[in-house]
Amino acid sequence: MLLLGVKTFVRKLGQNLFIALQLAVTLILMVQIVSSVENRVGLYMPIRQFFSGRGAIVGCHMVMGDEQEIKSKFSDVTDVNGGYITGLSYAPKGSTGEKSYGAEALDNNFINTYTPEMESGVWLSDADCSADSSIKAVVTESTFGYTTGDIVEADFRPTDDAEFQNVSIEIVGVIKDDSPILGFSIQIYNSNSDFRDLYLSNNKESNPVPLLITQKEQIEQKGIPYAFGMRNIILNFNDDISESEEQEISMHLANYGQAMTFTDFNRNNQKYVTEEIARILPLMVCIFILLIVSTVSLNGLSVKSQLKSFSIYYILGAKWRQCITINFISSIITSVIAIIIAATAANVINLMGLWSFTVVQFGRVQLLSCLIVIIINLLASLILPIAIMKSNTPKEIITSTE
Amino acid sequence: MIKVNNIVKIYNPKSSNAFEALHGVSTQINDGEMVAIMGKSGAGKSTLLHILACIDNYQDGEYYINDTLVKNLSEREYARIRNEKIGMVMQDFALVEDFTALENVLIPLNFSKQKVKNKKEKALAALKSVGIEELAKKPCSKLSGGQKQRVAIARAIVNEPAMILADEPTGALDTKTSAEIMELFTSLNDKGHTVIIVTHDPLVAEQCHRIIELSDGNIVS
Ligand SMILES: Nc1ncnc2c1ncn2[C@@H]1O[C@H](COP(=O)(O)OP(=O)(O)OP(=O)(O)O)[C@@H](O)[C@H]1O
Ligand SMILES: [Mg+2]
Repeated sequence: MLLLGVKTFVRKLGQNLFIALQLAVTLILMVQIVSSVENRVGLYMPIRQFFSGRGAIVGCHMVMGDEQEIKSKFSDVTDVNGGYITGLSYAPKGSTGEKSYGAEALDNNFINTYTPEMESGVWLSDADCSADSSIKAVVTESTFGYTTGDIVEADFRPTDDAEFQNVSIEIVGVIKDDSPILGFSIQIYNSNSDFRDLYLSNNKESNPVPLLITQKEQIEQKGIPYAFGMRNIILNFNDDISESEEQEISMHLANYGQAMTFTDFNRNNQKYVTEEIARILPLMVCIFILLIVSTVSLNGLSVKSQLKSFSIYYILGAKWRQCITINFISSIITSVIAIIIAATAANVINLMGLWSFTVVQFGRVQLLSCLIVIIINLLASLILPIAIMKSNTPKEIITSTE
Repeated sequence: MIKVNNIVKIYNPKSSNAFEALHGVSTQINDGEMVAIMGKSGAGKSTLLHILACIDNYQDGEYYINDTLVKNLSEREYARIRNEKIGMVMQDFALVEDFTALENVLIPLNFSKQKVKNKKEKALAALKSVGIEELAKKPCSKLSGGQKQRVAIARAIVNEPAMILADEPTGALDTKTSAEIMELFTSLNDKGHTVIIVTHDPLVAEQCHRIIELSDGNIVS
């Protein structure tokens, strides 16, 4: 039976390759579409939990202190999230000059929320940041010359009037240029700001000074000072306050920088996400229609062309079910070839750099969408023969062509 | 032995263009017989043969193969009967044209319920017995009418069915080839196969033991 399935495929090689090609194109389009959707909402989904309920985003102009200090100043603040500035200073690689560049820190909350694309090495969530190990850090691409595995000699003062202490920081990874990084964007608030403004994209061309990011828990543990400030931070308020109270607290927070309530912020987020989805939806619907129409018609064509052989098999002792199985095996081969074509084409496109205008990744969602395409195709190759064979008995098929 | 009892066949039974092709046909064919079914075009010969071959149903009456009632069986049972008990030679040979002669003969073996050993040897032996062993590797589309008919016969006998059914096996062949094909059927009958041939040709019918004459869906003799 397997053999007959293979033969069935080979007999209509041209036609089946055409079907495979069509399927491959659909797969590539699907990956492309899903990627662009993911690209647009991929920055939103992980962080939306941080601005539920009441609260404000503050683009600080000054140092605000740690969470405790902020909470003590604003009794309605229940939680603070954002990137930290630290007391750590360092210099470019090999430089004996003054250590005048500051390092940053993220707490585990943010580290685990969004992983930027890495040029080399690993993101902080995959590094050993346990209490008794050395301080780990990631850097952005820069002219400072630090790469994965390098040790950065840094110093800090535990308190303002203490002596400088030296500390070694191990670079565990380099963040790719232009990859969004959560927590370090600076004051850019206007009434149109949305979630995208909580990310910073660094590029060594426009900013040669790297971002050197450590883990806040490690910094704290080594007695290095850290604080919120100079960056955008997210403040959550008590849930039982009203929208006007939210507005009022935000007014007070505006002393530290620009402040925007969650209410306004989320309105902008919603607007952006719906607009983007609305932009992509027609394309998705088109591709879906293309998928359905082409799979159904091509599979129908394929079954029709095999119908006579299947009737012959039937007369010689096959069950209809076996004929459908044979057709199904042929379809599976077609699908496998389609996947191979699609994967090859994707690699070629990638190598030629034609995809640089959109970020195409191949992750779980893309895999799932490809799986759906394949399943629809296989289902069509199961249902269509059943439908076609239902309307004609094998005898009718064989005698009608006599 | 096969027996049909008051078989009624209606095409498109539930629609307005329902057509009764057989009006209660009864007959009996014994093992080892060689029978011709004759009659005018449209008399119902093919219809009857298709019912005997288990590729068509009937509305009323009974069809027995060796005392087994062949009616409302499961799909699996019908498939098994078609595969093991019946060798069918269709009117236009019904070969898979892009398969080779050998591949065509292998089809019944591939759908056999039992595990068949030495499939290829068996198929080659069947081709040899119809005298075209040397054409085994040739695609059927490249064969002549007589050669195709031989492939169809080889395919019909490869599972050694008790009964061989042929629908106008000489209809499309010249006189000389017809005679050769009839020789084949006669020798198969000599080996013990029951042979039932639908034909228009009196010369063909002459070589059978008995003629069943159909007219407008009734047996007249
Ligand atoms: N699928 C069908 N639907 C409706 N009517 C049919 C169908 N097949 C056959 N018939 C009708 O049934 C009658 C018997 O047909 P059948 O094919 O058995 O005749 P036949 O004796 O084999 O004729 P021929 O010698 O031309 O092959 C004919 O009148 C034919 O038109
Ligand atoms: Mg006929």
